[in-house]
Amino acid sequence: MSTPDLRWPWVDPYVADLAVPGMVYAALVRSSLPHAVIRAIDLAPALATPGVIAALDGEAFAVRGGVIHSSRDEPVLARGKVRYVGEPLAVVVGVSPEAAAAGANTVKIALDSLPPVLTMTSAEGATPLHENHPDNVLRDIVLEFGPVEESFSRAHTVFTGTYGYGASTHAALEPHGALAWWRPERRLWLWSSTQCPHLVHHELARLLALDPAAVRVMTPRVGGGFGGKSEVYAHEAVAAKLSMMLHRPVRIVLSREEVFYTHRGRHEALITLRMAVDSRHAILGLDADILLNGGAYAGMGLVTSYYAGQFMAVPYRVESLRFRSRRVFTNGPPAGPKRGHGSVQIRFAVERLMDHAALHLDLDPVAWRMALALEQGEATVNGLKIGSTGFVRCLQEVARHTEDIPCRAGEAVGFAGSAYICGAAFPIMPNRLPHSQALIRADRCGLFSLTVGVADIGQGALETLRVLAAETLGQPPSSVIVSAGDTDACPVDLGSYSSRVTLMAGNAVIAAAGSLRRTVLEAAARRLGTRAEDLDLLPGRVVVRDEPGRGMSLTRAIARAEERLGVVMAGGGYTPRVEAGSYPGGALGPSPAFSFSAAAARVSVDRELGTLVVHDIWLAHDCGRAVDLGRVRGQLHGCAIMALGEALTEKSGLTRGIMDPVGFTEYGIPTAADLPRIHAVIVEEPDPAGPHGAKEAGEGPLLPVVPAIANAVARAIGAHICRIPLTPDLLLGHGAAGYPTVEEAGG
Amino acid sequence: MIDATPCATVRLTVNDRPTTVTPRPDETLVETLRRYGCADVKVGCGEGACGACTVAVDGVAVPSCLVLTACCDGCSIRTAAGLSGDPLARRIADALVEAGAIQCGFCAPGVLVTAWCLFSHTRNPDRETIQRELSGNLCRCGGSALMVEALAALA
Repeated sequence: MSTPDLRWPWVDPYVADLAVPGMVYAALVRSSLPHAVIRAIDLAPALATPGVIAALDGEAFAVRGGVIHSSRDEPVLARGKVRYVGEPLAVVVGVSPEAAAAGANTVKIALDSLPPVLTMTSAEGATPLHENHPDNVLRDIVLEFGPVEESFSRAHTVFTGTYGYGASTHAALEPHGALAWWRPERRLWLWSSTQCPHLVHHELARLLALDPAAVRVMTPRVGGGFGGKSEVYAHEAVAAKLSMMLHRPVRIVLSREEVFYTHRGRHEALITLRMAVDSRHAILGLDADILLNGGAYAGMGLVTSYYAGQFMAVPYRVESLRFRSRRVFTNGPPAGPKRGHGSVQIRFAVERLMDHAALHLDLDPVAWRMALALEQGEATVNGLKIGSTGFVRCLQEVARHTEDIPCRAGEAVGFAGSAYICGAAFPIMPNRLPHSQALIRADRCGLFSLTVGVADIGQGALETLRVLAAETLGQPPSSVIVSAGDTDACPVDLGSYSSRVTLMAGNAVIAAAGSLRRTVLEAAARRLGTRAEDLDLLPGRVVVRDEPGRGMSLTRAIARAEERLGVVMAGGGYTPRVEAGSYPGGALGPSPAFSFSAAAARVSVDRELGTLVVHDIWLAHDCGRAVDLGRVRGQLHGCAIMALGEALTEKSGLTRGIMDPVGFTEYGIPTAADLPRIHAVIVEEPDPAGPHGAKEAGEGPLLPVVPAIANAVARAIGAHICRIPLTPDLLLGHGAAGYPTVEEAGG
Repeated sequence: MIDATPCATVRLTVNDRPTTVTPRPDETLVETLRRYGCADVKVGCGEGACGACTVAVDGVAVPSCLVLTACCDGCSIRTAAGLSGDPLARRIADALVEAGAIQCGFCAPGVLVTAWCLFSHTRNPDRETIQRELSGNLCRCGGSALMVEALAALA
């Protein structure tokens, strides 16, 4: 696809809009029990249903799926056991979606129920979900940095709190879908609504025992992702398998209910956090015990387990750090990466406990955070290097905007801060190859054709890359055309996850465009009898720097280069140059750059009714440099509203072992009528590692919003808030977990 | 007008083109329209909560997943693509895009139809009316506040 047209948004198709002649339709059969042994699956009634042409169960797939090679535990279709309600068990193909659905309804499944594990606190020691994890823990991680015990022994005050964070889901408006086509030339084409075509490409090849060179993955327009479309799913694999079997194109589009079962949303978390503060209010140590509800399969959960602790300290200076992180298996849909992957829960805990400490120590919450801010060139005790930081400026902005706000009884303003990665320094599939590549070609008509492998999922990745290429070439963005979304035609990009695209693909694009710029200038220089270094590339024109009258049109310069070279093109790649920590898990956390955010929220609480109104959210974000101001602002709004839903109304959970809710009516996404005033403030503190200084803006801004709202509520009602979402029972003072404890030295 | 009495044969005018369909009794309007080729009518939830499938039925914005085609005999239907030549729709689309309110675009056809119906009936809707009308169109990318801003500036 090319840069999508936003004005007439129906022009570019999404996967559900694609059709290929001869196409048939697949429907998945899903488990109705949370935990059971599969005794038998009888596909015969489905195959006898009019219009049904094929059906498969889990026996059709020999290997297990999972994008992280060390934790591949998920069958494409359940084999032996089912582990959550909604888990795919079988697939039925029909000549129409109705025939497929009718056939799917007739599949006979005999299940022998096993005791389900329904809560994360009861998981350890309960009936194991997986044989190789008898304790139901994916990995028991303990990491310690700096002199933790010594730090705590030197503390003037130790604060301890326990925090609960509710699960939520991405709910991208476009449901997942795929269209697979096994071609006569024995190659597999797959169109998918995915954030990571590169992962789908290689993982699909593995699942189907195909040579990756025989697989082509294409992304049409993608209607949002937020992390929920970053793994490889059953619907993609079954469509591909069936197309190979039937030699016909197979399309599958999930219903909203199925998207809820597919999940991979925010991990429910229970965190006990200790914080040691000295007499000058420096944070000497942070010590966290983190329990994560992973659902039935690992997915990207290993990353979540590490991220949950690794980002505990940033953006603050903390002398020592320790965490134990356990992601447990329960009989629910797998949790996974949702916007702000792994770091949202710990941020909530740290910012809440800090706010509690600030009240206890009578410190200004903003000034204290400023005093603790890591500076440029510093590293956290666990080795995260800060190449640039606009954190203090972000805090100043939210403080400045809120200083004259009067608060009545039951009303308050809360603050919080955060930092986030700009791409993971190490890839999901371990290798030393470039993370992003770009190709750019100059056309004699004056257009530049940029080809990248990134997936634009609505965040505006292609437009951002177009602007970066245009800036490098000194041309208006309209002279750059971007193509993406086809693994046959485009060079590799690892995908739209971990807020990596602007920095990594951006750097690849700048490298390619810079190289092309030199090629064009060299051709012009030969013609003009001068040196390329003495030329400037201006919009539509090459000129001699000191003789503005002398030069040639850009199209002529490109034509000269075409004459000399045959085709005028250049490529570029980007490989992060960041060291991993020399400890197990040390590859999870480091990033080429960190973005910073600060938020303030003004709320009022009615303690009799248990209702809460968020009036304003101020959100300041350091994105290095806003390549596209409007899109950065859009990301800030998106983060603020998604955080609002997560903090107040959205809740994914299990009711008697069933994912609940599974529809939008009950799920509670904020609507246009529910919104506070959102004040987005863009702070630019260019990072040397960023393309033209740019850093991420898509995930980091979500982090401080949830704790800012919670801090405001805590201040408004004078009570501790230690759970998200902020449901009425919590505001009425029921169901709150314990009040944090404060231990003073010698006391 | 949508009629509670279902018809076996249904005459529709879709984006000015008359057609006759014979829907299943339980067939929803969104199914009919998508089969008819209106890929601009999106399916987001199937339960009337997200508004991605919003179309104008005789000038009234409705989520087409909640309407039975059999009850639409004689109705004139306008989808987002059927507004491409309309100056008001063009102004709305431009305003939404310039405000940075459109990201993934999946909600956009429904939003456009809702806003077009609102502005067709009300010359200068106030902010509260705009918020209420748009509350039936979820934007998960978080563009709602920017949409309200853009449309309020248009009013």
